[in-house]
Amino acid sequence: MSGGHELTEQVYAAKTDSEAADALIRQYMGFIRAEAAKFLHRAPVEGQDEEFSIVLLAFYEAILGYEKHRGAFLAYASRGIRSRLIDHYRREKKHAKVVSLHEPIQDGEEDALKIDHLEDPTNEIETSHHRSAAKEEITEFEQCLEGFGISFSDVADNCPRQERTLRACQKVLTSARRHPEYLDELVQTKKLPITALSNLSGVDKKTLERHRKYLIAVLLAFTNGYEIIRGHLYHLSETL
Amino acid sequence: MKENTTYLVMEVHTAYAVLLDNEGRFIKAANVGYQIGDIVERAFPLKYPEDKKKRVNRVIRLAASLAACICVAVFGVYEYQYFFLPYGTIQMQINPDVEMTLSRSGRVLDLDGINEDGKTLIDGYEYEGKDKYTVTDELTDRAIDLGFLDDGGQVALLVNSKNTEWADTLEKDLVDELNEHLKQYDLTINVSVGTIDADVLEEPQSITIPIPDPEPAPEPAAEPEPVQPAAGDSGYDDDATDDLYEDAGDDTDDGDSSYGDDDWDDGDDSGEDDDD
Repeated sequence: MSGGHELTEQVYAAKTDSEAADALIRQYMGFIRAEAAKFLHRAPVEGQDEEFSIVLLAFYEAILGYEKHRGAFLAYASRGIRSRLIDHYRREKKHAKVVSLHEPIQDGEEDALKIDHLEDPTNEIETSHHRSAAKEEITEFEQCLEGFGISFSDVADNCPRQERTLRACQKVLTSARRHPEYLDELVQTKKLPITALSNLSGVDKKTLERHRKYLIAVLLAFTNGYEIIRGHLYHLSETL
Repeated sequence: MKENTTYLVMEVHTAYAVLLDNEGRFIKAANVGYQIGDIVERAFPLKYPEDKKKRVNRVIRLAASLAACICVAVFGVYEYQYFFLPYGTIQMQINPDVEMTLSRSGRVLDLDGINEDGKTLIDGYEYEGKDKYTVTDELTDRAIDLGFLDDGGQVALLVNSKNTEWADTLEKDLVDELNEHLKQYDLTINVSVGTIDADVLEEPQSITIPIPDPEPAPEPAAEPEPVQPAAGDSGYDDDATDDLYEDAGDDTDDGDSSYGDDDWDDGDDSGEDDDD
């Protein structure tokens, strides 16, 4: 009984703390693997089985959605995992005609996969360089955001999920880029000039306040540096 | 989400990764063995519980709105029928003969004069939006003012509708209401349910009762033979009176009295039967 109570407390802590969530997930990795194995009918392979990643995500969703009155957490998580996997399989049915590159080749050759016989057009060294450069820039960006007391997880949670709100935030970004003094003000004061940006863009102050963390992250990405991130946001640049 | 969207892996956790798409969305998605700095083309985004709740609430709101719209539409149609569609008629006969078309609510939708007097009665009368009782009372007032209805007059009301129960109730209520209304006049007016015969309507609505000659009848000599007067003889004209006197002592029914009761005064004020 006390074990259940302790777990509930851990779950409630993990709702807001990503580190606690990671710890809880690691602690219950056995349960997560077992749930994945029920569907795969074999032990899941981390990093290779999409289903295992979906089960991990569903467990995290269960952490976020759990309430005490919903009964025992593990039973709740199990139900969530099951329905998430069913959703996943239904969605994947649409791509049923797509041939997996990880399928074995039927030419008598043992342990040969289709992917092994494909010529990789990308330059592995170049990709590796690009990845490490991107990683460096992202780490720098992350540190910059930490100065504002914001993590990428916070930004993702604060990101507008409705198209209309996203467009409003992009409007704010456009206005800020036309008046770089506000970007400078943001970097120097570490405060989002909400009133000025609201007046400039015509976007409601409440919208700016509600998505403050997201706006800080996007505006910072368009200050000096962060070329790779800016380059990645080419759809966003088209609208500016 | 635009086509050819790619995601830059910004942060990696055990269960999820934070990805940045080309439109500037930061999303949490399943971590399929990602590393920071990777660019991926496919993502399995996290479903936030509050989004699920919002979706459920939206569906509930939509269903409730739809139900409300259906209720308003059904109620609106019913109300329209209740107030604006003909449900029955009232035929009102004084001698002016008029017909009111009613909605179920009792609102007068149309008013027609059936005969010439009826047309005269309703000429210039505004009935729109008025209740059946008001129109009935006001038409009766107008009939009195215009001289169509006088002391001893008669008003007949007949309600027609597919709903006979409604019609019967309304007839009764109309008679009660009109009787109540007529109390303000010092007139004796008979309000009844039904119609008045056309020949009665054509004649003036007063009855003259002839008083017979006050001469006393002679003593009867013998038991008289019953005399049947000729058909169409009222028994009270001169010839009939003569016959009566000839058949002295006869107080039996002659079978042809317009009053239906021959037990009335035969001229003998004794108050006793002549047989005595």
